[in-house]
Amino acid sequence: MKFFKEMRKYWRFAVYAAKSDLQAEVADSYLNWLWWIIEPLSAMLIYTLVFGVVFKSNEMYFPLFIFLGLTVWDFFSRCVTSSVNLIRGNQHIISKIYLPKHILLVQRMLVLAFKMLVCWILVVTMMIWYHVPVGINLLYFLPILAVFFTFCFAVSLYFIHFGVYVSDLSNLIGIVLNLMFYVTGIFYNVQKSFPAPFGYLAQRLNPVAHLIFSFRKVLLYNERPSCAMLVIWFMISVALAAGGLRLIYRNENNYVKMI
Amino acid sequence: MILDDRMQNTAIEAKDVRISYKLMRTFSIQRNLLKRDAGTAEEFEAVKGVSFTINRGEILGIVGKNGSGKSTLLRAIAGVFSPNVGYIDLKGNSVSLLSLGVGFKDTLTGRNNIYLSGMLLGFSEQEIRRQEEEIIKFAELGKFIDMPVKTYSSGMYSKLAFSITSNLETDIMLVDEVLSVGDEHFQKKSMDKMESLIKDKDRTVIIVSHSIDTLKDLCDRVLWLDDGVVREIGKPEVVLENYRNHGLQLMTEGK
Repeated sequence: MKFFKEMRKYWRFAVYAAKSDLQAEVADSYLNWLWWIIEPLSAMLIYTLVFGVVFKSNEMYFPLFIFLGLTVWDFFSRCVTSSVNLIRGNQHIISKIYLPKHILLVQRMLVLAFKMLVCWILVVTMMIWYHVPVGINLLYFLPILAVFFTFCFAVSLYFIHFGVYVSDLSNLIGIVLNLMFYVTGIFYNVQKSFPAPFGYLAQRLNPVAHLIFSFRKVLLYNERPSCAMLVIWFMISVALAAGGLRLIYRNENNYVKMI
Repeated sequence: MILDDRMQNTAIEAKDVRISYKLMRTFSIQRNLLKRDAGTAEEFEAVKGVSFTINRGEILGIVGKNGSGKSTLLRAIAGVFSPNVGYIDLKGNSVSLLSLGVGFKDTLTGRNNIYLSGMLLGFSEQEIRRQEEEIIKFAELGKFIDMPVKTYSSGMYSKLAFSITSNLETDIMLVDEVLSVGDEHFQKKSMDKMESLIKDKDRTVIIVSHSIDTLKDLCDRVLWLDDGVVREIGKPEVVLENYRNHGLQLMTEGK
């Protein structure tokens, strides 16, 4: 409950900080915000070439299939990666004033969410381009997104904490994320590609894979996602987040002294 | 009634405050796998049971040699970390560490940083907007205000920091060796600003300084912190005199 009170108190700060970050990023680079489009689109082209042409994948709307996966995956991986160095990276603030540490994560997620929004707009554009038939199942989009954000928030809290104490955590995270990238099914269908029970399990037990699968269901195939699985992952995420917040509240006093 | 009044008049109450640092090296997976010298935690107590109360509008000076725990205590009052034992009660007052600023994000412009700092100090966007021009004018940054802070010289940086925290006024101000910001002209200006802030009847101020003259001029009371404990607290003339003598004595003894 402390969490919600702090969220209310610092929400304006988080939004303003996120806006400033985005502005600074735009002002900094030559092609400005175009990079937010160019980057994911190029990744999509590369994977489409490699897996569509060379490995002859037969997924429907293959470039869109990949792009959607990348949109979701990029948010997750960037969120986790930046969490590891979140405390150290914001040393200038937290060594001078009290700030609930999860606000820094919220701010970071707002920045990433905005970039993700650009990608979602591209997804819609491509859906129109491919004449993807859509229906009532589109309504599941926002709930799935909510579960996804909660999950990212929850997981990242732990990385924030351990990132302070374990100095080379980011190296390890890089390797783990790389592995995860390949088993999460960004550019192939997990359920169809692994042998019988494993595909089903890999797609359900890996939340990121499951959520990508759900997004594809509602956006590309006009199918209903598994509500039970969404509820389960939502509850797990909330529990994880509660644990993560507790961990941070208990230890935040020492963060400043460590860095 | 009398009791109520007195309670309202207390701005800061610190009770048996102890703050310790764990001298622990960060854990490294690589180091632990290869060398197995797991982090040995050694505790170091910087503040060892300090109690005091400060009334609203009072100006307290803190003296003590380097490493006596002054800055640690100040940071605890600012809320950067809380004491390991004991408590510091600010009675709901807003507080800021004046000298350091709130900490800038150096990829952002000076203007953005004014807003972020202000919001962290608990001001709303409208309140900051009202002060914005004043802050920029006082910091003398000109067109640099819309450039990223990383392009600033160290003088410009501290001028902006001082300008923000001195113009966005909090109930309690903590000043850590502030009186050497920028060039001579700006030092004079900031000193004047400081004095006008300090003279405000409702503002509670804690100043940490090595300059005995400054403290004698400004403070109502002085606290002498020695090796994490309160050696003496009281009238500036008395405490500062004892502090000075103690320093001289150490020097003649050749320590």
